[in-house]
Amino acid sequence: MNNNARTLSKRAQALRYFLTNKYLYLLLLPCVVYFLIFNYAPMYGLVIAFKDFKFSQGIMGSPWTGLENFRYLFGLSDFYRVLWNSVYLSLLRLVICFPIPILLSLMLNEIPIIRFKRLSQTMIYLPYFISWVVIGGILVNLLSPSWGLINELIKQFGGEPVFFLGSSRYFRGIVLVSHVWKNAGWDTIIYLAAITSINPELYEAATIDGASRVQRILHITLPGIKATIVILLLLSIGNLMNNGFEQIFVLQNTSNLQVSEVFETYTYKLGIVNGRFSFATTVGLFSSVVGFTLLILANAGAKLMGEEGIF
Amino acid sequence: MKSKIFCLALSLLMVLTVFAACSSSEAPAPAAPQTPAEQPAEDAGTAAAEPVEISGVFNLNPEIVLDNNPVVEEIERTLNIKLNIEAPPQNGFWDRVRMLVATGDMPDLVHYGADISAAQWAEEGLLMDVTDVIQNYPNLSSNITMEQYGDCVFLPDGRIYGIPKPNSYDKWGYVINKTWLDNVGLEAPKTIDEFIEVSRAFTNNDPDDNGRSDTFGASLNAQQSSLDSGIWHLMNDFLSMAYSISSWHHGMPDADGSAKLRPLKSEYGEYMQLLRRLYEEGIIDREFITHNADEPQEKLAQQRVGIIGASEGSYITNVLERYSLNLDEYIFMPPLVKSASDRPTYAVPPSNWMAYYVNAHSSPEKQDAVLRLLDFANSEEGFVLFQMGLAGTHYNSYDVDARTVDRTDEQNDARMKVTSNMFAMANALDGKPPLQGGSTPEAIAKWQREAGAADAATQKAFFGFTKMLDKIGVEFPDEVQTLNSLEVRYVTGEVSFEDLMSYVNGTYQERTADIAKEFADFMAANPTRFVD
Amino acid sequence: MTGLKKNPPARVRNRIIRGVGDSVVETICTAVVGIFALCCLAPFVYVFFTSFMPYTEYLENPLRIIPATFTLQAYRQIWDYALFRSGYAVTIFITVVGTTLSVFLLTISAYPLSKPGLKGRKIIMGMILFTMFFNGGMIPNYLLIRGLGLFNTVWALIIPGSISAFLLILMKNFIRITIPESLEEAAKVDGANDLRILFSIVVPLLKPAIATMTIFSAVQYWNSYYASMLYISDRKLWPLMLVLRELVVEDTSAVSPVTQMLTSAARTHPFTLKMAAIVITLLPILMIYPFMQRYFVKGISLGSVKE
Repeated sequence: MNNNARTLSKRAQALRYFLTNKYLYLLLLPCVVYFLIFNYAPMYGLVIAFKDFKFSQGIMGSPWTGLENFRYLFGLSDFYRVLWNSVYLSLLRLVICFPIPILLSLMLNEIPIIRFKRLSQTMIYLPYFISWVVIGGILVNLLSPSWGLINELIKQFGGEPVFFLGSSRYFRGIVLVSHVWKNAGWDTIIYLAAITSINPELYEAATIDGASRVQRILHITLPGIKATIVILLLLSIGNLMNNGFEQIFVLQNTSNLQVSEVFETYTYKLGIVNGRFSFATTVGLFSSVVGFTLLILANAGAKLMGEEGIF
Repeated sequence: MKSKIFCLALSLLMVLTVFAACSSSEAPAPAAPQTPAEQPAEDAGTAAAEPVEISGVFNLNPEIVLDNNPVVEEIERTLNIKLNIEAPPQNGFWDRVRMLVATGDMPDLVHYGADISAAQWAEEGLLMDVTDVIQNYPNLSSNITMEQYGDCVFLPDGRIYGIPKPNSYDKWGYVINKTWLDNVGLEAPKTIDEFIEVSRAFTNNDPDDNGRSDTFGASLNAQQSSLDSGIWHLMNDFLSMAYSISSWHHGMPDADGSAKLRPLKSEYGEYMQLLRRLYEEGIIDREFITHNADEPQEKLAQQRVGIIGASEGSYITNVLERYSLNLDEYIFMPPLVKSASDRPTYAVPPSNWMAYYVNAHSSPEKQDAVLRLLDFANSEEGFVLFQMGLAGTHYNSYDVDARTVDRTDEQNDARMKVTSNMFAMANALDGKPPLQGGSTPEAIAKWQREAGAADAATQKAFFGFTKMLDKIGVEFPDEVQTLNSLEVRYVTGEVSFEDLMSYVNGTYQERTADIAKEFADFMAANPTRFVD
Repeated sequence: MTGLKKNPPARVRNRIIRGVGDSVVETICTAVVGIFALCCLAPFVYVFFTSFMPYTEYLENPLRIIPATFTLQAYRQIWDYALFRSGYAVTIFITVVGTTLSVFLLTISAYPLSKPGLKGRKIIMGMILFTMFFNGGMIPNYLLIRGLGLFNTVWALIIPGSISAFLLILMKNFIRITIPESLEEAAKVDGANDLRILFSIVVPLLKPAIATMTIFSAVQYWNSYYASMLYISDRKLWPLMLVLRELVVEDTSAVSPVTQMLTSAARTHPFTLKMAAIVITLLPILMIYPFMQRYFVKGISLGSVKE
């Protein structure tokens, strides 16, 4: 009896809570509906990972094969090398490429000449709009051991020309540098917007207190964008299994295959070229599960360290 | 706590609604194959004069305008059909077609490669078995050889599941810079040794007289995109054919006439050592291992290299005219040989450019209309219409025998908006391309002279399609990739010859033993024809 | 625009104490950013000039920057191309409508999600995050679009991408760091409901965040081609980016090894077309950007009181 009454009052409480916040839930409705329709409704496609896909029978009609696709994936002799290549490259990106947009936006913020700041801001966004295929072409010309500009310079200084694209030794370096060049500028937008959101009074107060430039960066700007940095860092950790198809594919050739084969390119070759249509989904599911798990763990870790995290 | 449950319930409700919606959206997929069953009744009811409506998905270049296209209208009138063309973007073409098939939206006619997906469609009964009907369409049997049909024999049952798009036979030799030859005082090489000598001179003796050491003997090509690739590329055949190795596929018989997989051929090691030697000495363009697409042609045009592989049929149009090079400065030569007494050989497998598939579930009338369309495209009338456009509008006159055309640039520009060799369903008539030689009388005369001389000096090895070789890549993707990688790294000096050969004679040979046996049996049953 | 923060109030300026270290920091920052910016600009200058250069001239010296012969041939060829104009119209439509829709949806969705106390928030956030990692793939998406009747309409290019999980998370974060809770509490006490608070108090404060979302969404719509590859069958509905990609076929498997060049010599080489295509792609963004930049620069100069 007593119990029942408590549930009732609890239910009434819940209803009251909902009614007080009805507008907030109303605002959320389109978003929830959107994700249910456009993301969750097609989610059944994931079952292909556990099936032998038949064109004539569609996704639901294809016969189940249980974990066969995963057994095939883990049984491939190159699987562990590809896994290592993907994760290692991502870790390098995380360590080297991730902090650069932050540094850049902090520096941009400290440039005293407004005109110059605006101009350079626009300039650093440009590479983002040039596709990897075109960048690949430019790199081939630039890095050519016989005719390229870089090797001309090396020769000028008395060095031996280096075949950058023809060896696995330089592959990761080229990926990292071209990644920074293409994306770092564009990625500053988020941080700049975050810096903009910092209350200007904080700077005024600090200036009055005689804080130096560096102190202001360390004690106001950085803490002000910390939440944003944490969110982007968490998402990057979740992305540890992904390297993006286009960049790798453009820079890949048979001579650097040993280090350049990552999940995206491997899936492409085995899935499409070799007609293993369930394979792409299998690999995708595997890396998604790993990525999502990493994100959840990292998010929990961030919360332990007193950060807000993503959710 | 309660609101959480409420929220969950809300979400669940929505998921249910959405699933209901999506299950109804999936319904058309299995339903599609059933529609053709109703189709015949409907068709039978209509008058015979009514055009048969067929749908097709084509890989078309974007310049073509499909609305009120006079070529399409002409075809529709001639064959009494109504052609509904879907032309997805070329860059996403393969994905799109596979999706159409997978979702039950497969049209009556599908233009697609003769690859592993098509093989799977055949296996699942989605493609019409055309083996017994080809004979009813005279041009389908006269313009396409049984060897070419071999490309569409996907299954062990030996049936034909598609109509290949015939292409002209392609013979790969090389193009050399004559001016450079004169400058270094050498003749165009015929043997590998002469080739090495010329390459050395081109690299070291400043053949372009610019005072700088910025040239190389030859450039090769490499493929980066598919599984069975690496250093094997058609453009390199002028070199590898001296060792009875062709990049077309493993079908080129070994020196002793036997059929072996490429790495297991008797002169494979010798060829690899040649590449290593050329690379090490630096007398070929070392960057070839990263090449893709047209880079060798560009380097020839840039006066960076003096020799590149080229096809006898298109070296003038595709290399010299395309890069606005001086015709007198370059000559075409047949493939190299090991010793001067050997006869050079062109590897000539049947040449197709993708294929056309008929939907097995379309009504017989539609299937017939599709086959009539393909038959027409392989007739002389259809070939000329597809390739040249309309007489008077797109050209003044076309000589089918000589394969030369008289047209203005304006006419040609207009033609490119209505048809192309992508759109044409046959790219060769009686094995010959729509245009031969070049675009000017001088170019044609030059072509006849050089290609003729090369042809007279060379024997041709005709061998068939061997689809079972696809299985190597499918069953042992990692082994194939490892081999590709070892080959390239041996050439660049990263691994030793012993490592390469021990992999070839160990893992590779073991893994491919069954397929190699099957392949040898096939080649024994379909022997290579050597023609002088 | 430039006058905005050129002259900060004298009150503020007088109080600034400049240390020696400050100008060192400024110089280093200016130098580093300047060098990086030049590295970014150089390839674009190269792309820009080669698009006006005959291909033969490029071949002679691929590292040449200023063309000896200046030609508009590549641009003329792209302009002559029937699909180019329709593609431009489609792209402008989807960019304008899509960005508006997207920014609106992101704002109204991120606001409730930024409320730490709102019940059910975590579940929904988790649900959204999940979609960043898992998706059903090409075939179910195609069937969905077809089932919803969106196939072969511009809406198939607008609606499915209108809420990006990534941008939603960012937006939520921006609201959290920009809007002090006290502000909303005060408004609540005054009797304003959540809708009023959002549109009359929060949104005006969110300008930098909204500008960021606008840029990201606009660029995303402007550059999108993948959806149109799958969901559009009518060539006249192809967006610009798809059309430009088609000018240069990257997929070599679609091209025969013995393709006869049945084209007239007057045609531009694909390489030059590609360069012109990049310039065409970039121009509108370069034109729109300064208007958006206002919001950043304003904020930034406020944030780092100087001069």
